[in-house]
Amino acid sequence: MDATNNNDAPFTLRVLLVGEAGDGVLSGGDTFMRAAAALGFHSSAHNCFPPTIRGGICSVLVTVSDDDSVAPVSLSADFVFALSRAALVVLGGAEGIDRVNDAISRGDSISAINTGDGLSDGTQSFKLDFDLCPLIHTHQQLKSSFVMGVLSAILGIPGNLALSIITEKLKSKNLTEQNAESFRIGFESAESGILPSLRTVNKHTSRLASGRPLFSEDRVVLDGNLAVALGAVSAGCRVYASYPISPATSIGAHIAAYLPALGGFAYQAEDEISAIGVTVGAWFFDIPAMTATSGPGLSLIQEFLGYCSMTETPAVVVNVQRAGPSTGMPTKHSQEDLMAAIFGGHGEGQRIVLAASTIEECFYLTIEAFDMARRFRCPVILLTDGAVGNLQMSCKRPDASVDINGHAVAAPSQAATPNTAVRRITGLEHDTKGVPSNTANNRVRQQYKRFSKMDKIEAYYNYMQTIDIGDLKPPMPKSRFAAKMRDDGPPADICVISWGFSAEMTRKAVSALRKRGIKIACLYPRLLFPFINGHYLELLNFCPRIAVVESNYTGQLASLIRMNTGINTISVKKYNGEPFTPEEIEAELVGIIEMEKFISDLSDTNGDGAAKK
Amino acid sequence: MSDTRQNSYMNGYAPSWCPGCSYFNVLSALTECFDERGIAENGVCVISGIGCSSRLPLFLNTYGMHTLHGRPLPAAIGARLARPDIPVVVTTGDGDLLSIGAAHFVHAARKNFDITVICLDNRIYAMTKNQTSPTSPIGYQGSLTPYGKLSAPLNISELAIGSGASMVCRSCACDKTHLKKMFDDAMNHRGFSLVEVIAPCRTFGNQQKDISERLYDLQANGHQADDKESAMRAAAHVYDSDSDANAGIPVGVVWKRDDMLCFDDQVERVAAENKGKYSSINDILDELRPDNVNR
Repeated sequence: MDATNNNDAPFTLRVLLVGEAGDGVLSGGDTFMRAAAALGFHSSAHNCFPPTIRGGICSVLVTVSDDDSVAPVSLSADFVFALSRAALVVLGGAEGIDRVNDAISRGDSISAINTGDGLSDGTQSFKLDFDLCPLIHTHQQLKSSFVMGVLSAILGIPGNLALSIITEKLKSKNLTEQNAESFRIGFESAESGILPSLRTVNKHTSRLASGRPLFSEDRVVLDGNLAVALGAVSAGCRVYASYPISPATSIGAHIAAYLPALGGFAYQAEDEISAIGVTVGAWFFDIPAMTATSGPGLSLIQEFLGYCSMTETPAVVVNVQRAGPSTGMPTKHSQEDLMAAIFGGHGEGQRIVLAASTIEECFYLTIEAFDMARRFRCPVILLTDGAVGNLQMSCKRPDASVDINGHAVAAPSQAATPNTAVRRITGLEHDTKGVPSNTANNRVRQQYKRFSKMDKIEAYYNYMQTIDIGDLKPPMPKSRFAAKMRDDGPPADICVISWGFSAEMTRKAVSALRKRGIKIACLYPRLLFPFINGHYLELLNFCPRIAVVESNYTGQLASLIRMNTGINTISVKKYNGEPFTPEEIEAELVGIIEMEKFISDLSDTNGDGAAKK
Repeated sequence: MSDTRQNSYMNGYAPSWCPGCSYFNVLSALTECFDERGIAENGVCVISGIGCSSRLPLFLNTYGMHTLHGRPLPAAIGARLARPDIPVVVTTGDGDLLSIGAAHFVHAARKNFDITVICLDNRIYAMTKNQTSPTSPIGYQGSLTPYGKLSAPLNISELAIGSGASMVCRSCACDKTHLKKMFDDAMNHRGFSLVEVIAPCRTFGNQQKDISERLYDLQANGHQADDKESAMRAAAHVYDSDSDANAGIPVGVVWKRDDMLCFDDQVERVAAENKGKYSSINDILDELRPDNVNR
């Protein structure tokens, strides 16, 4: 790091906006995130909002960096903007959003800019003087434009870029001039008031002001739900059906805008049962169709998923996981539906369950889901989650002509060719001609037929999960499954398995741990079911200590691993509605390694304190 | 009772209904209607739920979906959206359509999808051996209601008209000629058409089995099917015989309007209005550049 030349120093800036619903916090985060992306920086916005129509505290963490591997969630921030007194109370620690408190408690690195007095030691606080803009008294939502003005001034965002984005967004709505006025007043108030005395400003302003684009290739702003919608369109989806449910709704909102022009239609059904029914009705004619839902919807569609298994009708279902059971925390993140996706419903049916850990995977795995549904003629459930679904990020433009690992694939069919052969399907057990049958022999034959087609999954989709061993040497074949017995100890200090958004955060934690010299082998399964034992067993070659990181209480993937392979793992779990941050995972993994070391040191002594030879 | 097995639309699988069931007549009338309309085997899709009535598609060699209990209409809507060129006929019963599937019925009717729904109203659950259905008479003793049904029957036609269906017909399973005429009229109609078929169960139930003498034709009596008040009046009188053994039952076209918004037409309109907006995924991605928020 060269302190004399700021533009060569690694650069990451985090800004946390906190306010009451109606303050325009999410809109402000969107504006700032796009402005930074337009300047060529890697940029993301992690939204956290309550499930109320209005009211409650919203926050958005915007991360701007010249490193596109930087995590979009974090416990710290460089600037915190509290847009209202209630938000300030939260910031002060009375109650509410923990990560805000954590950010404040980190001290030095934070400049809290808020509506009142100073906060914790080491932070600088300034007043956001909304009174300078009388319009805000009558139009609360103008606050975010004011703050964008302040941000533009103190960060040196050039040429009123943020304002032009705000204006573009408002094109069809009112208050364009009022927002511009609010932005201007905010900008000027910061130039004269905050800027001269801001301690940490220099390293950020020069960087954003110079705006040297770091990503020359064509970038697009996506969120996980939008990526699913784009993946579906790319895969040839022509019928989409859904019922409003947080946090999955926006998948339908996007796809509904696209489909009519492409010869399809997105249908808002009367409930989730109807939505999956419409999906199945379209697949009956081989027209690619999809429904997306979340927790309670996944419960409601189970009967039709069984119907798909029995009738060998394809279906694509996206489940954006939220915190349950029951209504739970509708806008909050979780990874609690793995078991329900695999085993939900009565009877024994064939299903494929995938999980996406990044926005890119939301796109590519949706395409894979359609391909798998066609190929195996069974329901394919793609699990995403509240964190990745709502996460906005500047991403590399996705390419539908490559697969999840970047291999070229055959162009997805834009217009599906309907099968004109007459067919009948029934949810009753039936013979090979589709005629209902109750006979014992037929039942055995048909169950075997339906299940045995799933045997091909492993051969087809082996590429979907690979073990990441970093620069570790793969063990020699003869030492397989005997990592413990090797003279020089196991090749890795720990193995880590994670899925969904937690996997992406684990990747970042692992990268940091490897820099600290810790040896790690990892597996990030994207195909969760059918369960492919080999990948999990292979990890044993590296270390018998295997941690499983996931956002649920019961350790669902850990249970599946034990059930299928007999491997006992160590669960690293978080279930408070917020996603893991890489820092948390890093600390947990280090804790596990140290605890194991402590126990092994204990057992290496003879009780008299002398180490065994 | 005609021998439906000889019909070219039959797949040879022997219907599993009780001997002498009036549903044989319905099956026969429907296939003859298909025949007279010149429908190819792959030119119609018959969709059903669960129950005696819903077995019907299993005996045909047309496109057929025997779906879940109460769920034929969602599947039918999916079929309509996927293949607007293929007409959809739903065969269902009073339990399937009006109890477990009531929500779907109300909304499919309201949205006025171009679907023909044939509801065989035997006024009980027969396949599960005699339970009260939404249309069973007050006091009817089913196996789950040994002290009698405690509520009044639901009127299928009233519900359909009230929900927004654009065509409602009533017929009786005892009159194959009339059934065929109603099926044909309903299939000619653009929009949601319900054919309520009075079809008493021979095996269970204490309703009058022979009601053919008490039917009177609405059209022969100058009924104004496009007038909502007249239609609701005609719809109301289907269960009068529960309290008056001599009451007549109006059959024919109860309600029909050609000026109601049909969902299928609206889908076509939206497609036409948005034609050329996007030709591929790349057009959409172009809109998603960071500085482009005008979406």
